Amino acid sequence: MFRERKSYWKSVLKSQEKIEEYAVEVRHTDRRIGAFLEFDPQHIPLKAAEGSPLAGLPIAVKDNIAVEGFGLSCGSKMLSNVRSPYTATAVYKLQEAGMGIVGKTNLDEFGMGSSTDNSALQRTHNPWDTSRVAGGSSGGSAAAVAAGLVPAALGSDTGGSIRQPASFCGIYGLKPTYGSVSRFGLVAYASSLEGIGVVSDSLSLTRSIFNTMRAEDQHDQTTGLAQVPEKPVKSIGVLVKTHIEGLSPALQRAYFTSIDEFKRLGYSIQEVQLPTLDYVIPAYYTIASAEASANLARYAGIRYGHQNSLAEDPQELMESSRDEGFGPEVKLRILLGTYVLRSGFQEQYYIRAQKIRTALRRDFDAIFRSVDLLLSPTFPVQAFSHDSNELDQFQQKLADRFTATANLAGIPALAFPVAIEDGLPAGMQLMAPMHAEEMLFTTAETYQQAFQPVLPEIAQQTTSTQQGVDHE
Amino acid sequence: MKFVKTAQTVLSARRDGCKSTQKSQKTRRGAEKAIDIFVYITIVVIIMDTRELYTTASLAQLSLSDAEAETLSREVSRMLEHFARMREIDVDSLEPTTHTFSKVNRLRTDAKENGERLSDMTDSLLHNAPELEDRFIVIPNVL
Repeated sequence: MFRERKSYWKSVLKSQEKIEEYAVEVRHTDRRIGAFLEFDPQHIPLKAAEGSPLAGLPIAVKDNIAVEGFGLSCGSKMLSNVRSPYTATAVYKLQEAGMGIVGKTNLDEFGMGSSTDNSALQRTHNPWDTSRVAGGSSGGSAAAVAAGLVPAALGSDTGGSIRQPASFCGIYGLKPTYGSVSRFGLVAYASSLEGIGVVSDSLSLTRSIFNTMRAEDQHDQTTGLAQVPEKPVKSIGVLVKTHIEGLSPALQRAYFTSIDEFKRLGYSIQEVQLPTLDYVIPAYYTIASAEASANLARYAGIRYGHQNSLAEDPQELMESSRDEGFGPEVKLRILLGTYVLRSGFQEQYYIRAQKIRTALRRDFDAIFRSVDLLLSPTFPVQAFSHDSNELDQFQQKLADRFTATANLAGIPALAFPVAIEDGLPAGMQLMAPMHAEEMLFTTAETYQQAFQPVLPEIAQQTTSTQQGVDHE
Repeated sequence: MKFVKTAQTVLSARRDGCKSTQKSQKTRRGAEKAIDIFVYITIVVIIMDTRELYTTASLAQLSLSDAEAETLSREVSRMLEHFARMREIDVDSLEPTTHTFSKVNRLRTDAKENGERLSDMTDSLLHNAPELEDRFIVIPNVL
């Protein structure tokens, strides 16, 4: 996969002529996918980074992560006119390593959603079937990779927003340990839950990008690293049957296939208990909405962003600008969050949710004492159709239960492709103790003996102009 | 149900044109009071729901149209019902997690740092403001 195309990716930004060729191909394909909100490969000159494995490679960045010179719309009318005055630390590190930021990708508004259909600006389609969603909220990033437009893209993950689209598009998606990648430059939605991560069809590229971004940052006081002892992965935990209910038949098949394959590859599989799983969704949405209501309070139509210029007093200015600038899902979460933080309600909702978080972390402490990693589905169904009746917004929230678990606990998780079922990708997720990303990579690498990631036909067309094959 | 039944008694009594005996007068007064209370409670409940939402919205500096308020009220209620699940689990003995790892507050001197990659951004930040006058952002008059 990436090995064969590495020479292609290393060449696309090499010369003015190559860049223009690349831009034509991307724009042509993206008309059918809608992954990019902004695409401009010429925009920022590449830094010469001798010896860096990332040098010269293009990468796309989700439009809620700041890149100077590009917009920072967050998929919202509220910020559709804003130009970012600075670059996020994580992106800056990749630029220092020689990567070229070629564009900003579409997302659910402010990161709120599981489809990218909540974007106020544009619709993104799944490259495997354009009548279906690419997942969310990092749908644009996942679609850009799956469509062969970029080898990797940055996303953000608050409750599964990297891993679910990665699984919907058949690629890898890493949610790093909380605090291991700086959030400086990531537009805040839920500060205690979210982080910047990577999607790619290449596991080695995912690993390189993560290792380059991973650092403590003076601009983000919540960053912190720790070394974990290196140990080989021997055992993988799986959830008890009651917790795996509600999977579509295709995902059930893929799930049991992955267990069989891991056994065949020599891992010991053990059933483990995660008693707090049933309370993950109410706790997650309580905390996420509460933090969102605080973080989105800054959008008041005054210093930047959408403004109702007809307002006659500052109060009307703020209220109407917010009413006009925010979409319905954003308003819902702001209202919910404001409500659960109101005096008199905090104890029964917000504080309680934080205690559930403690209970969940204890569950994981126990799990990781008996197994090395935990395997679970990413999402109960494969990519659903746009405007489908299959899953309404409420049911989409309930479906976040597997992924939101890792965000509540702060642990790293990697979505990896496991099968193509009914013509669509099926992915699973591996979770590891804090700072043990390397264990995720080595295990997913071994799994490639059972299943190699595949890209859909539209991606083969994009790179059909590549010359020759270079072996690493 | 009791209120409704009493109300029906009153209405049928009126229909039949019964002479008001002392007993039926008492019944009628009781029934009218019951209806009033019934209607009052219903109205209060409806107003509380919408009022709660409008209070919350104004705390969040959001103006909502009537249609929006109706939809959002339903959706917020649905979510809050789901949140009620959290009461099922016993977590009273646990400390709340505000952070996934404990850290000491990191301090630095209150001075400009060397090698800071984000030097004076004031101009580029102000560039995003809708209307400027000198270095001030213009908004409608407070009064």
